[in-house]
Amino acid sequence: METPATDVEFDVVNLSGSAAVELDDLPDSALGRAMKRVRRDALDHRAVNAAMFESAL
Amino acid sequence: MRDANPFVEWVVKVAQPCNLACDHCYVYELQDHTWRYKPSVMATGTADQLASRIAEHARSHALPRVRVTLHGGEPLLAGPSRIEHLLVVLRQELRGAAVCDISVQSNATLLNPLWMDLFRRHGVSVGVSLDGGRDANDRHRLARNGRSSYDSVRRGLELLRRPENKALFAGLLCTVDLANPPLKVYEALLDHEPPAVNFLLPHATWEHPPPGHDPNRTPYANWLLAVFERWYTAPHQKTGIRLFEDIMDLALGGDVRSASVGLAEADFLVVESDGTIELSDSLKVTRDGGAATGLDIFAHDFDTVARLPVVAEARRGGLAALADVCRSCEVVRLCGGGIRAHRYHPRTGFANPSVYCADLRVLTTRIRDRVVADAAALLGSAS
Repeated sequence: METPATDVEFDVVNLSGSAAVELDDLPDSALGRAMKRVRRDALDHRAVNAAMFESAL
Repeated sequence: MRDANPFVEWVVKVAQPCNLACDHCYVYELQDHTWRYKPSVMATGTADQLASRIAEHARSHALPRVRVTLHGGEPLLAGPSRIEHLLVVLRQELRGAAVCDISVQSNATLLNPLWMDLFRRHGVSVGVSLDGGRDANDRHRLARNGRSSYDSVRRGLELLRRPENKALFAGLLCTVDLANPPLKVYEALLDHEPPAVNFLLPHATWEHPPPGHDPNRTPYANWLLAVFERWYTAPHQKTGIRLFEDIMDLALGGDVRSASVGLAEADFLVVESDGTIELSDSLKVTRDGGAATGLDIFAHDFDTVARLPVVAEARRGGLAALADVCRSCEVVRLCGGGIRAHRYHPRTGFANPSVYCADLRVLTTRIRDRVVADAAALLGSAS
């Protein structure tokens, strides 16, 4: 049987429960931007809008 | 049987030839030679059929948005009128069905105000392939006569950065060469003010490993981590770096659409200049015809393509597509086994870790550990 990817042990930060941090309060750093992207996508259920083909932008 | 998930992205080979002769080009310089038997440019009738097929697929799956990338060879060699015809028929066919994001991936040497006028009118974003400053770029990316391509690329980038064109500048695509100092490359790329950068590992397999391949020293991870450190610690972001952003998003529990990292199912196809339908270009490094499906847009719709076993197997996401040793690896959700072509060995096919496995493990582990620690600290300090 196929193992769902979500069953793999993996160390991640659970941003979904991090209501203490408002998106706008996050710094304009690489980390702050990543946290905004992940939280915004999780909250809005938006598809990630980027090319998948690796040899183009 | 469950219906296959739809495709949402098409890479269109509008021109087969290239005006440069890069010695690391995966299309012309490695295992695949199928380009020799394809028309040099896509005929208008083929473009019409392609637009019709994409619209048919978008309607039947109610896709809100699709993506088309004009690619080559050098796509601008197709000429403005041929390209404009494709842009017009894509808009016509998809009107009322789906939004169509269109981009072109070019070496920028042929960009001129007429091209930019056309791209502004049709909202086509432009990605440029560049390997760094003059020395780094000219290590591989030379003109057919052996001369430097750098000044021509720089002129194209200056045109792209003009205020009237800047919104169309998608960014820079850089192939890693260990001989080029990483920070020098990164700073040279930043000089062009790209809104985004991506770094590509040279396409390679277990049969043809990349230059300097050394699983004990992980030189590709070290090269990329030098850039990551400079980029990550910058107080303000001058550009995005797709590979690092994707790994960070995965480390934070997000999803990414990437063929390079993560476990997403592939949702793009390549359509060649003759209308034949292929898998990802990178599979051309495995063997002659390694990306072929045997299907074409005249005889087959994209649902038929999706049902073809070789296609279903190649685009498969999740853990089932990976080698046993990968499935139990602690970073599998981050690296996803890397690019499928990089797992290839002539004896065992794709049931192997990536030829870059050691590099990917070091790269993803370091980025994950950094991100997890810093994010926890940031959340802790804010609560």
